[in-house]
Amino acid sequence: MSRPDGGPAGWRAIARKDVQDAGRSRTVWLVFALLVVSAVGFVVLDTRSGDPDYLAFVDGLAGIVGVGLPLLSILLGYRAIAHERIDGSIRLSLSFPHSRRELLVGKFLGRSVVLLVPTVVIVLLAGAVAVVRYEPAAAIRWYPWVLLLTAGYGLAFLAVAVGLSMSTTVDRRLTLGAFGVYLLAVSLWDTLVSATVLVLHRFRFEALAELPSWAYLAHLLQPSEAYYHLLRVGVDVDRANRYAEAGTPWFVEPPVAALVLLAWTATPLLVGFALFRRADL
Amino acid sequence: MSWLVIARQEAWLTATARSVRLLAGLLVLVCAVGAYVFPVFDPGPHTTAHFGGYVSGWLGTLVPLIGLVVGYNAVVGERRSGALALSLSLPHGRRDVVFGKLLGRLAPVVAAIVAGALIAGALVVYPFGELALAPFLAFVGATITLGVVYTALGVAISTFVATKTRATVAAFGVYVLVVVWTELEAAIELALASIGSPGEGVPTAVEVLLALEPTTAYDRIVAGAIDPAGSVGDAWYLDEWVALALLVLWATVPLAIAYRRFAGVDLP
Repeated sequence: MSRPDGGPAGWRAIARKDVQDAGRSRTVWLVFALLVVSAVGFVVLDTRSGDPDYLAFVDGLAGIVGVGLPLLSILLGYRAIAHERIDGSIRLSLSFPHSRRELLVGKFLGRSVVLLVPTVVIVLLAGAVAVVRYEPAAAIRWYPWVLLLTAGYGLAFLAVAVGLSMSTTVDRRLTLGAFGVYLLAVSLWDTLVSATVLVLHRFRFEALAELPSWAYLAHLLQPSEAYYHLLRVGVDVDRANRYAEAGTPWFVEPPVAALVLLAWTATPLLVGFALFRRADL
Repeated sequence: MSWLVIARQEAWLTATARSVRLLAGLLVLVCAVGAYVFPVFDPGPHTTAHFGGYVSGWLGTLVPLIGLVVGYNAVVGERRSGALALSLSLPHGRRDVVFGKLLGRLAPVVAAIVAGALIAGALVVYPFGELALAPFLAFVGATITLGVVYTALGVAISTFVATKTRATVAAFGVYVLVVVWTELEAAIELALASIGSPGEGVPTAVEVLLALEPTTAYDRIVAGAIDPAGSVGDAWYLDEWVALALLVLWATVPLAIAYRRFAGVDLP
């Protein structure tokens, strides 16, 4: 139990405390409320819409997840470690036999639980509604795949947010960084890639209709595109169908999409931790 | 190897000067903009070989300016401030100082040209153009040679004169000559036509004189050896290889003369 570096129990204690603290946090309740409202709203809207269809249901759900889940992840993560540094409690945490690495692992795991448990429960409930409402199509057996991908997608943005949270304690940078990540990776990515293609092709708009092969990869590097692309492996949704066109390059196959999501998860954590390890607290 | 020490220090000092950074950035920008608009305004074909002929005019105006600005203060500034006497009290000869300063000041010029060429090459090749590697490398080499010529001229001025004011005036005068020179031929033709001389064009002696200038020599190299769409005159003195020899002479002779004077002068 008492290894000098804190032993295996170090990160567990931190993660447990993080999960317990979550119940007292207003942010978490806000996040949870957002989740419930958007999920219920979606299910209600979906049941009101014309012809009930399982594919359209998953497509709509993926759309909401694609835009909404990053927001929740970033809200949960972007102060995870910076907050403790700002109020000084990190010194207390690290005065226990916990290393900085264990602090990171514990915090990340704790926040993951806080993010994923409600998300998975709600997506499961939505799936249950789908089963009741629609002819349980054969594609329903891929629902675990949808759940898994959704969890991975949420974790990727949580990693970005926690990485950001390790990199600085300046309030303004944290806020701007969180905003910036959401703006860049969720809202503007598509536009930026199209703009680059257009500028490079001297504003000949045909280039947008027939994308150059590198632009497919540039699009796929966006987390939500990778998420949708992987989703299509199991469920034939409409999103990210550009990769299904004939003549798309080999480097936009689904395994690359999986690599993209992994890279979005690993890189920010590694870079953030490299900065955090050297930081003076 | 004492010149190497001076060259290294000089390269660092030059590359961190604001005016040099500004001009180097301008050069890269001009290369990039030139390459960007090349497929839009040029009827084609769009290869990196044709691109040389397209931007040589722009570079012929900008590279001399950069070379002269980088070079003109190299020696005379330290000569006035007394730092030169200090350098020479160390085991550096006057030759080491001049040679080291030339090399050190060349480094940022060459770096800017190479950076501009890389960006321009990429923008020409993608998405419409084609890479013609050998002509493009030759074009970059010719442009670097032009940069060497004008940096050497600037350093030569700096080595020759005794005060900063004279160096400034001389460098400025050389640059005005560069800009005016390309217009001279047309002006002389116009003048000849207006006094009603027989329509043979410019007399040979004047044409030779006009062809001597480094920027026009650079233009002839690009037109004769690099740009497939370009051409040079038939006379032997308009040949692109003669032009290259001219550039080499321009890079060495003025500096050698200036050094001869500098080597014999009594420094305060």
